[in-house]
Amino acid sequence: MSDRSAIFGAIKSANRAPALSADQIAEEAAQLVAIPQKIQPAFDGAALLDRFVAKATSERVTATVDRVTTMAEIPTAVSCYLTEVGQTGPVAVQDCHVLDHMDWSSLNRVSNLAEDGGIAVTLAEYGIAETGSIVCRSGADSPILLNFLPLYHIVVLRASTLVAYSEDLWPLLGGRTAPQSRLLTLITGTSGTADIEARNVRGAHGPKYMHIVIALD
Amino acid sequence: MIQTSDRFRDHVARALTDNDLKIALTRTTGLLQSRRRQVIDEYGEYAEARRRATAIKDHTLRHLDHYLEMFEANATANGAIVHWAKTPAEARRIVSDICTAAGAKTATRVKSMLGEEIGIGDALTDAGVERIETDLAEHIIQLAGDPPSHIVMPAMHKTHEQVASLFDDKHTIAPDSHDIPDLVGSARRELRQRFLSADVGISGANFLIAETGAIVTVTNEGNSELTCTPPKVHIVTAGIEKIVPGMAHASVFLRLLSRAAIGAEITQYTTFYNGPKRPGDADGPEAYHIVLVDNHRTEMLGSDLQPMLRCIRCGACMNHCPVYAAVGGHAYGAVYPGPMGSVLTPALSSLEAAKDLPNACTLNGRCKEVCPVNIPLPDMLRNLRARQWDAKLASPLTKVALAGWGFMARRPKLYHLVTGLGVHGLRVWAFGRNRIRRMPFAGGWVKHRDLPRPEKGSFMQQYNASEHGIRSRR
Repeated sequence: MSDRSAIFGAIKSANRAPALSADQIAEEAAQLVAIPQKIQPAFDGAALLDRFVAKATSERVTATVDRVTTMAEIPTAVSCYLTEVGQTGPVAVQDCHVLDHMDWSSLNRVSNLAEDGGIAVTLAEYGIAETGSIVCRSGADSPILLNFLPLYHIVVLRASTLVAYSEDLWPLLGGRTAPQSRLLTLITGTSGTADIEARNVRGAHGPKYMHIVIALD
Repeated sequence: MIQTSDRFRDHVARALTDNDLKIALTRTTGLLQSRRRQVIDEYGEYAEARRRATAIKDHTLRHLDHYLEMFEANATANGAIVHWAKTPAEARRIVSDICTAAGAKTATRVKSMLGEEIGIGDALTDAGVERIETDLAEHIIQLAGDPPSHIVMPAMHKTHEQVASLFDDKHTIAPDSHDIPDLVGSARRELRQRFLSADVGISGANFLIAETGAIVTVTNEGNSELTCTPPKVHIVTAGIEKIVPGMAHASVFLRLLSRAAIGAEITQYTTFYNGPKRPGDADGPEAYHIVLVDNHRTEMLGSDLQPMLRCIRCGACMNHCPVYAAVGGHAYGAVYPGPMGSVLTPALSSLEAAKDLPNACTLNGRCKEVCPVNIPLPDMLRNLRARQWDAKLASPLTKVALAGWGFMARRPKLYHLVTGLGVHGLRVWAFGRNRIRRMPFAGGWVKHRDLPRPEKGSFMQQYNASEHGIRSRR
């Protein structure tokens, strides 16, 4: 007997309850997450953007945030940030439709990161206000490592893509029938660890600094 | 790791005299408790979330075959190769065969307790693959040659001074200083190139999502994505109980897991893996395998141990256990320490091989109180004690003590006289101080801690003297 049939055989003999139809099980499962408001941390009426910024810049998440009115202002905002933190580049900017439309000539733009310690600019597909998280998916124009290798992770986020809770995000990804990209990640701040004496330290393996430029338009 | 739970008493004796261990545990458990308390207090919807999480797990376990089939079908459609392993040996064989077929020389690994449970280190050794642990704590214990001592923070038993001398000794370039941030920086320097050049990346899964076939990892370090993206093969090993119905259900658990485990609203990286690299993708592995492991879980299903299958491995029970805080994780001599381990270890091995574990509990109930899926750990430990008694595994001392107590308990007058005298004797022995430091014939009770001086009078003496007691006798 294969291990698979041994496992399923053991489950069937342990679960003696009358079998429900797939639809009945799905109905039961849906009931268990009905009215998600009952378990979602309430914002008390705060606007999505305010909640997002408050969480992203909180002591735990440690990101910094800048707001610009239009997408065209983003390269200048990135240059200003780099000047502030005393970095001159090179800067790996994600090679995607949205970012390619901008004028990056003020930066030393490269396509690949140095092995360690570089600066990367990536585009967030969505932001989650509840936790101050940004959402990225892998793809042809989205090398996922660009979010994990640099020391300085600069994120471009459009305010229009903010959702309140993770539950609001799932339907936007196309639902269960849509083909899923290899990897979907919710990133909340920078790479950290508390593995030595439970002390929080930033820059464990990935970024030590996260800067989010939010375009309001 | 080789289970040594049968030597619990020896381990405890050693742990209690280990000063570094005491320092390491004192520095961590208090912090973890206060961080958790703060985020739970701020989460007004916690009670309902905990109730739902418990119900979701119960529902999923009731329909486990349905959800596993759904997961398998969706993961396969996503491009995964799904394997099933009834035993750790079979799981090791599968992992080792995949590595051999890929011609792998090195494998990076993200910490997973299931990996420890099946002995994934041995599987890699068998396949001639060098294992590179990437979680900082796992990196530390790999260098030290230690087993993990905690399910979330496997190096909890190490002080930063010990980590510093370890890194001085073993890292290619020694740490810049012995401060914790420089120790972290030294591990980053040591591991960066290894991430990028590994042949295979191995992860566990915090959740398996039936409706999409995704597996979820949560980390703070970002080592999961760095482990599972550059190599050409990604292998996931996961217990079959990790399954949840859908994404909305995962949201419930993600809120609870990080709050209970580390006192954070969310971990820094919550990542859903859906398969291998898609055509045209800029990065990602060519092959993606999921190994689903039973290892006695189906035996727990339908038994009084079933609630243990709700466990999401947050570690809150051990962070709040006075026994764990005194002896640390290694004393338990098993992959899973602390209260959840004392329930799980006998189920994964045998009651006889772990017979002291259910007794290493004061039944104070804090583990159940802080459990995000409300596992009745104290009741389960009590049941295991009863089963030990039935299986005649109780120690001779326990038998004599219980017989003596039973004799007295059936003679209330004698019982009250003896307990009253005992309390009086202890008060005299305290010599007017609040703590008792020495005890003739029972030195073990006060060797590692003081006994507080008892209140005046036994419980019954105090009760009888109280208003309530006087009224009830009228």
